[in-house]
Amino acid sequence: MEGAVVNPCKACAPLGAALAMKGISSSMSILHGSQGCATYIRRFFIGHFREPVDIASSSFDENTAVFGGRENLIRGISNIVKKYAPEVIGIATSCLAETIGEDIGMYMKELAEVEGVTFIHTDTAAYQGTHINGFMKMTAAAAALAEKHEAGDSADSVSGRLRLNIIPWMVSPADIRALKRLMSDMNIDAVFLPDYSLTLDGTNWSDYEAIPHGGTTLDAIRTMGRAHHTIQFGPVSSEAANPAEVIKQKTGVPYSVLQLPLGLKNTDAFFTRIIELGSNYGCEVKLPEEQRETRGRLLDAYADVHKYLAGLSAAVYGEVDFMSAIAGFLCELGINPAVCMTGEQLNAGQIKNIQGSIAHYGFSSPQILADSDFADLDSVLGAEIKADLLVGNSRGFKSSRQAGLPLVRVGFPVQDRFGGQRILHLGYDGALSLTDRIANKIISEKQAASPVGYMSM
Amino acid sequence: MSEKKNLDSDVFRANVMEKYPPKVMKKRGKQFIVREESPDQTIQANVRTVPGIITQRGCCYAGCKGVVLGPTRDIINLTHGPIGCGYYSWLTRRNQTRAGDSPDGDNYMTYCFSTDMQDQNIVFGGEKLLRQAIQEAYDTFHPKAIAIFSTCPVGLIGDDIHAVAKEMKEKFGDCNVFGFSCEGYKGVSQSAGHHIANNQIFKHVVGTSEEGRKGKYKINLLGEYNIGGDAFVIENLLERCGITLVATYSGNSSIDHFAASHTADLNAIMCYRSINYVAEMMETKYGIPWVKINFIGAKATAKSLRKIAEYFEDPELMKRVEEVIEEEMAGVESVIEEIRPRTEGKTSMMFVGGSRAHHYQELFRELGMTTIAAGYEFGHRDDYEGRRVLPTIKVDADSRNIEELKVEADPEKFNPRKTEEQMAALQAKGYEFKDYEGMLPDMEKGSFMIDDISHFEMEKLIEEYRPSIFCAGIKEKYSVQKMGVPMKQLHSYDYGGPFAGFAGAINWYREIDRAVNSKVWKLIGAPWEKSNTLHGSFVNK
Repeated sequence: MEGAVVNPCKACAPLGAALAMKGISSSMSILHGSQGCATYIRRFFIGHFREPVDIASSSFDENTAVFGGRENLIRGISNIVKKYAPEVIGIATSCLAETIGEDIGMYMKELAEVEGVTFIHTDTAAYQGTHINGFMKMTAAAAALAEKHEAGDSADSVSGRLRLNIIPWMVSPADIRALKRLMSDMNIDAVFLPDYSLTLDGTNWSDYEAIPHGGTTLDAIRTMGRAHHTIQFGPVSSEAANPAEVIKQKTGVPYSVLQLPLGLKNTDAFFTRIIELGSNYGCEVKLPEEQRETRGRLLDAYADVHKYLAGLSAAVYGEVDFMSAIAGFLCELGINPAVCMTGEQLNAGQIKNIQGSIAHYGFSSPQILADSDFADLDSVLGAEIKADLLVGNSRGFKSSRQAGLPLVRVGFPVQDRFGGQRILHLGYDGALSLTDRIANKIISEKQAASPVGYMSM
Repeated sequence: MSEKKNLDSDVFRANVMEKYPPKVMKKRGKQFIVREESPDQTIQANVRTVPGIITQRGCCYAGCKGVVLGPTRDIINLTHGPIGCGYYSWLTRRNQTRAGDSPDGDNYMTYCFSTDMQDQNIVFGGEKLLRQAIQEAYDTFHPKAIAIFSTCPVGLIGDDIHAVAKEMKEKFGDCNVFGFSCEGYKGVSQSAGHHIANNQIFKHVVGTSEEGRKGKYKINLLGEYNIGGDAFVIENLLERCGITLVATYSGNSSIDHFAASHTADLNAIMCYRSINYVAEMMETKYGIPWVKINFIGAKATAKSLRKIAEYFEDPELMKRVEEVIEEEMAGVESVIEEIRPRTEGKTSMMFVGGSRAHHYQELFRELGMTTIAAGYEFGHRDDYEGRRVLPTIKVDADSRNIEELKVEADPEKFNPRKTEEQMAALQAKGYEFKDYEGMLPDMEKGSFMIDDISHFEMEKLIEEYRPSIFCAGIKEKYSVQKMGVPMKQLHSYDYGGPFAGFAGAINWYREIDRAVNSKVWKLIGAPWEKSNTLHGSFVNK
């Protein structure tokens, strides 16, 4: 790409940072820059999660832009503390703050004196990376609060249980809830970082909550040093910013980076790794019977739908780690992920890995469009690639309409349908529900186009 | 619902203010007032938001690109900056357009164009990238116009977007290219962006074509952005009255309409805040008078149509307008009659925009509902107190930084539409030109007027006064609903509408009836929580 990006497939890094902060208990975010950034990001989240999302801003003006934003940041934080009394404040920077060279690290020394508040900070210039980098960077900044475990403390007494840290990537609240339940069913003590399963998919309130309850507590983050192991999803995202590595450096806890457990093979790999870890650390970890059954149902469903789906081609897009997991899952359904598009930049090795993982399912190498946009997708769909459906977030609607192809909405954002926050992607359950949705989308298109119409298959 | 009596307004205000640090309290105190009987109350507005307070406000870029230029279908709007700003403002305001109304059918509103600046552009400058992007947009789409919008870093690294625009415009010859220095940190809210948008459209577009729509009664409609199809309703009404709409700024608009808008004989302003600058400049340069009208509310719509007709002083037009009003009001009245018994006496709160928090009070009044608290997100003092306060508004540093164009009468095109005598004669009959009284006269004693309301103040207001409905935007929507109060979005209309004109008013009555009489809130609380004999509780696993 030379000049313009037309219909982008990526947001900016501060958005990801703010999302990660929503997964930390009793926290508030402040975005250091013009107030428009916080406002845009708030409304962007709210459109997807349909929950209140408060992000403060240091509200730069022209003077601040010239002389620096220290004063605004300190004032902003004092107002947050007075109004919201958070335990944690996350500070991310806008491109404006980064362009003028704001040194938050230096301001942090002053802030250290604000009583009762822990500060987390990361640089998130929008001209570097995308929203997923911001997410991983803020998660890594939070992970740095993990404390080294001293042998002999109380955690050791809970013997026989595997202790894991899970860095779940930018998955849906429903995904986090499912993973948490899975850990509980497997008798694993797990700390999730971040965990916005309640803060961004909450309930009605009997009393007003200035900061919605839920999220990973500071204490839980500190105890991440006691875990046997950290599991982090998203190999490509992890290359740019690696929270699990931060935990390892701080506390010595080793880690594994896995593909998102999306689709059968990836979920198998996830369980396999957990069972291996159980045996490595001498903890009994059993795959719950229910999971065995769901896996069986998933295979049943694959068999049921293959008549309708096998041989189709799809265009998939989104963050690399999500997109490639979806591509792999489509292969399991017999759908060829003919084109995979992302707004992220990829190196040759990363592209090869994605192609390799798809080839593993027996499909010829898909066209990978990296550092691309929906206009690029439109042009390949209009020319060399014949696709039957699109799978990705709601920003692909324009492309889907233009190409006259159905769009199955997954990932983030899904702002033009209800329930984006409740889409379950992960595990056998997630794969099962995606299978039904994809098959039904295709079938309903056929049914609608049928001159006779039918009411059973 | 508790039986407690609501706090006296002054006590409530004092309680809220007390929670702020002294400096913040001093500032917010002037922006948070209780309506007294005095007609001369003042409020502070259009001042900087306090950092760290969760504000409704957006930025200068949002006002410039999203509000004013966004609804124009055939200008390519190119954001010069990192990706976020363009991405977040991509097709979000739900402005509608009928591309088929233009001969070429161009519609770029569904696109997002950005230069997606990377670190090397920040370090070495982004002009080369901008040039490439403009070229690419031109080559791909051959648009009539390309508009460039600067985001924050652009102003700091010193890219000269105006020079690039000029260069590219000359190079193309058949494409108008112009830039907006609307960096997000400018001004105090979106309002600065509106002003910048007005200036540049006036400088680069207005008066560049004489090919405007022809007709006997030609007007421009200013400050109508066609959210939810409002402009379609108004267009239809005007057409039935025989009034020709030369241009709408900027709902369902084309750049061609703007270019010929100086051929209209009257400017009628809906959203005064966002667009009055263009009206003022057009009057000075071309001699077109302006009046404030409002098509939100059935009575207000009738009044506005009459106001336009009276301007033209033609009995035939006045008769036609009366016929249209009569036809429409019959339908409106029967719906009001049906619904009003269910809405009478209920209350509303509204915190939105620079006009909507005022205009929509009309619709609530028609349902017998009272607005007990209202305020603007980006209004100025004249939006609250009326234009009479204009001479007393102190120009602060933030406003001074927004360019004021020096406009003079056009040597060839200046043509006063009415002589001074004609204007005076109309005024003698009570006709008001260039007048807007603001929200204040419509607010009842004891109600609240709050400028740039903070999230915290909103929570407290709802907690204490439990309005029957709260109107704001999506950022407030879910907090309000979690508190068990129905919420209506007045930015995107929750993808409902239209609400303008008579047809729109009917939509509104029905929707408000559904909202304030919804039974869903009664389901809060499980049966076993409400029962004295049934005991059960949820356990945390």
